[in-house]
Amino acid sequence: MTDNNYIETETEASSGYLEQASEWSENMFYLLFELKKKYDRSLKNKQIVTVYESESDRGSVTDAYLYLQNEKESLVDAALYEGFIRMSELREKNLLDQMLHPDQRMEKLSEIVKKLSTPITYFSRVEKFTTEEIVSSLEEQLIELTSDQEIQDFIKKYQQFISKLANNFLSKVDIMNIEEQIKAKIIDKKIRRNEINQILTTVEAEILSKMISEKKITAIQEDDFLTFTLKKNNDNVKGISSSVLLSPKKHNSEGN
Amino acid sequence: MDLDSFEGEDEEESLIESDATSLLPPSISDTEKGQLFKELTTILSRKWKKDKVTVFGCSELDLLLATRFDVASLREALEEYKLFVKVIGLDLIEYDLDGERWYCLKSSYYAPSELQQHELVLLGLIISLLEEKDSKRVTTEVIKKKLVLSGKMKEYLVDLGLRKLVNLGYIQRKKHGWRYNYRTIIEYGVEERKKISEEFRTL
Repeated sequence: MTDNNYIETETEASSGYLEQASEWSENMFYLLFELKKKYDRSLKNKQIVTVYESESDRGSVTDAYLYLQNEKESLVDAALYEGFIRMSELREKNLLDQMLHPDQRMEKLSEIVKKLSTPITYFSRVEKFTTEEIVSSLEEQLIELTSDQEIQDFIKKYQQFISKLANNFLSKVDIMNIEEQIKAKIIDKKIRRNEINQILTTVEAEILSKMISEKKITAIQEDDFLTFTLKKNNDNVKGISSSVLLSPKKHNSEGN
Repeated sequence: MDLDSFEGEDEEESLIESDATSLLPPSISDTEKGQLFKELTTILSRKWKKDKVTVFGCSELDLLLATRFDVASLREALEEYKLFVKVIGLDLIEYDLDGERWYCLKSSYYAPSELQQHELVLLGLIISLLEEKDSKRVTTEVIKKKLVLSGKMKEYLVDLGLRKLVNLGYIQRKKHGWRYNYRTIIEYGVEERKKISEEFRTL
């Protein structure tokens, strides 16, 4: 005979008992409900209920099962017991975590984050595209131009390509002109190294480096200043470098 | 590793392939399909930079332009490709990047993470802060307050980590502070993010 049955048979015996039992069970259910609420709240906020308090709570509801009347009440009882267990786990975990060094805690968190991820897959490699394929796919096209007018039209149509190519070549006269311009700009002047960027264009800088390598101009560096002279022999100069000034955008280095 | 299981996988692969043959329009031959799959693997497994943020795979628009399929048949082809790569433990996934649909490959099980320990910690912290229901703005100050002021991490390491996370596409800076970028959403499901947040609170 189960305890519930026992209570039932007992309550059947007298109406006084019945009233008393129903009152007890109501009280007990109320207690269960309140405690369940308390533990739910503390678990949610991670507030730890002390061992002493938790044990006394458990003691007060130990024989609650004797008074439970329906399934709903049993469920509340079960939920409360789960709350006790989870609180005990939380307490232990908290105690263990308190012993962890901050570094270890961070390590643990990083481990968790790492474990829970399933990263995107990729293959790292150097991308290789052969140019042959692209070139072979290009088709040559023969354009027949018979009259002068057609040739003129063709040149006019593709003017931009033709003129760009032509610009890349400087005649000797051009180079000499630019050389004169450079001389006018920089000879016998003290110029800061980083100011040379603003003074020269890219083409001028290239021609200047050519002139230096041909020893038409001597460049002398003193601390942060550069001096360009036409003198070929300078007794004060101790070291000679044949470094070439390539572009005004880059770090310049001249012979000392 | 025994060879038998390997052969078994091979058979399975061919089975799935033959099953899926019926999906594609008959105009595409087997060799063409082989070529297509080969190129898809190359395209979808690449990692590159777009607007200073690392992205993976390829957008649907680019795939459409490259294959000259219409949307329906491209998606059909990708469905078949998905079955094809599933055998070797990969998963074809789609994600949303600036309103565009992108495709990339993901490991179904495990793959090494690109992040260092301190970056993982930062990411974990940001995830748990964002997962909180009554979360306020997650700004750099909040993160530094949690990590730097308590002496767990140096400030420069936090800055460096945040920059790397942005570059790798994990987080992005929005008006309301830090937000997830596409990659966090792909690599960490809703459950995982919740779990990280829970674990963080206990630590």
